[in-house]
Amino acid sequence: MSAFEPDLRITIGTEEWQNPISTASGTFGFGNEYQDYFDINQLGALFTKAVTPLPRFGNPTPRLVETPSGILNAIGLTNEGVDAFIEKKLPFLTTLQTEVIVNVAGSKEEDYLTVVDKLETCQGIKGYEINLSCPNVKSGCLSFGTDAFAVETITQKLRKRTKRPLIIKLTPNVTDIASIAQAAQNGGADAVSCINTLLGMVIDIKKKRPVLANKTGGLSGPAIKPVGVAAVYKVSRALTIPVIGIGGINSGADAVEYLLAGATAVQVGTGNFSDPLLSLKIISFIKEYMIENKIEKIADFKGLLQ
Amino acid sequence: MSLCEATIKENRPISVDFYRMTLSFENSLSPLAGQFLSIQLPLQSKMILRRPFAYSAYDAKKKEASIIYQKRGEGTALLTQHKVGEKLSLLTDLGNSFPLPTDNQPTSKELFKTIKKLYLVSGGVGLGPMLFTHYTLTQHSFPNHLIAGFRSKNYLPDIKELSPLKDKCSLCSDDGSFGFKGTVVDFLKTIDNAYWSESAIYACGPIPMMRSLHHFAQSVKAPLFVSMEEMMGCAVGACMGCIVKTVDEKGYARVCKEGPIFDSRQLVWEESPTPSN
Repeated sequence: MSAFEPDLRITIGTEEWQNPISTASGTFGFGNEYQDYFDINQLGALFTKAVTPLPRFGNPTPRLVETPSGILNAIGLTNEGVDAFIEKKLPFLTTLQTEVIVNVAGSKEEDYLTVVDKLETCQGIKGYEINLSCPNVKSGCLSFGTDAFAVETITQKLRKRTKRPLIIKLTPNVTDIASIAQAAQNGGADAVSCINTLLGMVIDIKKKRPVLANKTGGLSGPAIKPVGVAAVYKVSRALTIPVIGIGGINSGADAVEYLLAGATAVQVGTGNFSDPLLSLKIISFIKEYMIENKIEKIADFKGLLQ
Repeated sequence: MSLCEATIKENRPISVDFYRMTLSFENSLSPLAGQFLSIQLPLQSKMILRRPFAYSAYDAKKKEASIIYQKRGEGTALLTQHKVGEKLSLLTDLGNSFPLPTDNQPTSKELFKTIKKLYLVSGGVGLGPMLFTHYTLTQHSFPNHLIAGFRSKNYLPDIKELSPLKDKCSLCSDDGSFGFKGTVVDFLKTIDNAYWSESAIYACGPIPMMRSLHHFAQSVKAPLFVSMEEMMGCAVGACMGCIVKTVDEKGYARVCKEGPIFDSRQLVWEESPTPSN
């Protein structure tokens, strides 16, 4: 019999999540696909597929290839643009109780401002995740995310435009992720999420060419978990704002690693592909872990690492 | 659509590289011809993506589904090693289906106003969904003829479903080692042009075969519906990995969600082989 009921709630900016488990942008569409498999209202939050000002076809296929314990993707931010998002995807999202956070992407600073300005007029959005870290777009995007000054500047500009939680998504493809995270905090971000995918490549030795049409892609899945955990460890010690951990979470134990490393919340991404119910299993595991280890609230995980 | 476990009842080679797996389910499924399921490989393997395969049969009484798959890479090689009695995790009844005279889809209603006969064409391991389609149409007494092409006799599956079809099935071999010598398109060209005004073609096979079929179908003005294939991530429409180019304004569709079955006229057919071929 448990002595207490652990409190899984967390706060990001002005918003309270019912638990620290969310699904990563690009792996969960706009929610309706996975609603067929479980009640997605049980999630703490849902990060939508990236939304850009105009429709994007993305990269030619093949845009996915499996790698040892991972996948390499070069989707290229395929989406119908912010206007179609508001018209076609937002109505379903606003029916959800889970926190809906829109991932915003672009190739120049103005793109991010345009998307956020349009979404500010809409109900039901509980935050923005700013994608400054996608390795699959030819210009902008990644180049913003590797430049601390650019990160701070764009965060400041977005901060002036919204009171909603502003989360900056960080790339691991930098020398010092903590300094980029610091720039996001300085710019007024409510949280950072890390890590996005790692730049990678697969070559077909029979055809003597890269497997992906885009040649390179972003690596995700279990193979990158140690990189994600290390990034969260470094970044959470450099910042006072929350860190959302991403990268290779395939089990409840993986999620706990991130919480012990210093994350306030986590995102489940590629793991959804092999097990659509993974997020629910992780919520149960965390609850059980907290009961067994007498951890009262999520914030208490941070002090536990020896 | 569901996430469930199934028990392997059969997993045997039926020709060089082709295998048939039959799975038994606790609950009933409701797959339609053209749809697919997605199989999780052993958790301890380094391969994290599920593998999608079209249904080749479904026995509603026994609650058993079959697939025909090709040992092509590491994942399918691992699948061939699974034994009868073992359990697998599956996502079931994914994607759309070939238009059927019994469904209420607008495309089907429009098609069957004029179409009185269907030619079901398969290349290699594409046989699976066409067998299922043949079975479904025959159950509903809709005239259909299966044309199955293989490279050579080594690839001709040893399954009872192919032998009793007789006048409802034509077998083609590229090398002439059995049946009609030539490709499935060569065979279709032997059909009297007069029949095409009331006939349509459904197909599954390699992209070059389907590209040729598309051009043939255009030349005889017959509708053609194809089962497309693309590397899949989530298999449920969330990740945008498996898109094909379409001629409409949007410019793309998901093989796992809007597909795998497409009217060939909806698709952009690039003349030179794409890297995914």
